[in-house]
Amino acid sequence: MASELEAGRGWIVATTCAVVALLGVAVAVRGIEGAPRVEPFDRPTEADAIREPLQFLGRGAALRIAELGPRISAESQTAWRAAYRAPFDLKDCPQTAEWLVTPAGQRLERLLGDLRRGTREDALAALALVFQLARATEWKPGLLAKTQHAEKLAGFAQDWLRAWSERAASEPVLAEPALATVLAYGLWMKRVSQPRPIGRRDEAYDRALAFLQSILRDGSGRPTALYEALRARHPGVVSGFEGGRDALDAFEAAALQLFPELNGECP
Amino acid sequence: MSFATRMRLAVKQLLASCVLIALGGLLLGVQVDSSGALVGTGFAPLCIGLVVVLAAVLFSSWREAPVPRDLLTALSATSGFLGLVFVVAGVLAPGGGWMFFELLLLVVVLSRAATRNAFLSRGAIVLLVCMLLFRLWISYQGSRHEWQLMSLEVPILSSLPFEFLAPVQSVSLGEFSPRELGFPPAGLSFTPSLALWTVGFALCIVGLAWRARAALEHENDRVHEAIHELPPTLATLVERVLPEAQWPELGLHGLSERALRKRIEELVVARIASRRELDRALHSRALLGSTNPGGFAGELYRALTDSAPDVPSSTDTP
Repeated sequence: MASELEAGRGWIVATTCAVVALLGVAVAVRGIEGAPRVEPFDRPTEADAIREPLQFLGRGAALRIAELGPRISAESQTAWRAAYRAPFDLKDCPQTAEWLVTPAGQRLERLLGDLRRGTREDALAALALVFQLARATEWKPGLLAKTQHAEKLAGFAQDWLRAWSERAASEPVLAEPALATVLAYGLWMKRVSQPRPIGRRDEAYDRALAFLQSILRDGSGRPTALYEALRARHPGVVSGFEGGRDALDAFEAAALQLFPELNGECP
Repeated sequence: MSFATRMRLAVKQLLASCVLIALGGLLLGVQVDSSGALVGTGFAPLCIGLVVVLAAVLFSSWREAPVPRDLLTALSATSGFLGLVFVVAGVLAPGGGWMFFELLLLVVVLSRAATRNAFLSRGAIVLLVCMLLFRLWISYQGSRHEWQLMSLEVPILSSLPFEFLAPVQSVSLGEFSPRELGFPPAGLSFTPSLALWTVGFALCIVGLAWRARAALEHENDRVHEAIHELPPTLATLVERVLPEAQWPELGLHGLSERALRKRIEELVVARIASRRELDRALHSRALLGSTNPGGFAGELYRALTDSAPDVPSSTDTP
């Protein structure tokens, strides 16, 4: 009997050593440090990636818009060449919705749809055109509370975010433009929901809030990557959004800080 | 099944339970951040768990605790202690005012359980499960960037449609911060972390319970082995005098080989001596005195029994 036990001593020692090692590892793993979060816009990009993509959405977009031409996908090239200059060549500040029903406006609207369904460069080009349209047309509701113009721009932003917000949050090229679009959407919907200084259209406000919730929180209420990026870049906006008061105020303020010329009147 | 096979089975069970405890501790020691990387849960909860279990052991150590004798019992004792530390560290909400309440409760419950020679009583397991659920709940809240236990709406006020009342329409209970919870810098990925912690907790609890049973069986096998060094008839007699169910209470567990034999010897001598004492008392005439009815008949009865010679007991040997 004793000899049987002695014979098994080898594996007892081996298992004991394994358990001791495992216990040591169980203690040691507690010291693994987590790497700090790196936002998509802080990650290194490929050598031929578009630099400073936010410039395509700013006032100087006209200077760089031609850079996007060669990067547009082949299917959209013809439509791009035919329509991309239209918002940059706009004169006399037409009203947004009115201009969009003109042949040039319709061509642009079709192009925006094509670009939204294309590559990430196409998506960036679509945003550049929407922001330029917002700068070159009038969409301020005014005393008569004409909200259809801002609603049209908010609709373009919403369509783009619906298609791209999830992917854009992890794309170094699209992350910042996506955040800017979220802010601009908040600004435009603020004008739609509150066209005059007093009073609010709850239907539009609730619609805007529901859409923002859908892109900033997942199905179980946890923050999405876009939310995390927004929190890193514009913490005040997230606080305002979670604050329970007029959530769109924070979006409006941040959008106007980023794009002061987006006031609904042509500069 | 031969005795050696049975003993090796107990050893195998002891080792397997230690492996379960170590694996459970490993899973309880990590969490998954939002980028999918494994991050440690930190040494602070482990140290707090260590203090709690040590305090529980010290408060209950008025009993003589068995000392490990060999590699296997040393491993078993270490695994048992560390397993409990892992479990306590895994269920503690590492921060907030509630942690001190949790610590106090755990020390009391574990000390009481330890005095009954079983750290994992049913009550202790229920308490640990409740604490794990509490920790998972606050981690879930934290993963949603909601840094409070819950938000309660104030009756009447919350139904008024005035935005300026928003700050007083609800009350936040139990606020905490990601730093207090030891969240990874990149944020906690709740679902995989939940899976790791619950599986780790279950492995530790199962391992601890299994280890306790296997250790008991292993010690019983050792006592059995010592008794069966005697001739078979004598060994059977000793096992009848010292029933196996009483071995832990008789202090036969955890003794060295020499001390175990001396203890068995002492117990057998004491028990047989008391048995003889009892037999002698049962066969003594003095016991008949208790049946004396008294009075006239009793006096006659006493006269007869006092004058009669002692009846030799069948158990008395010349």
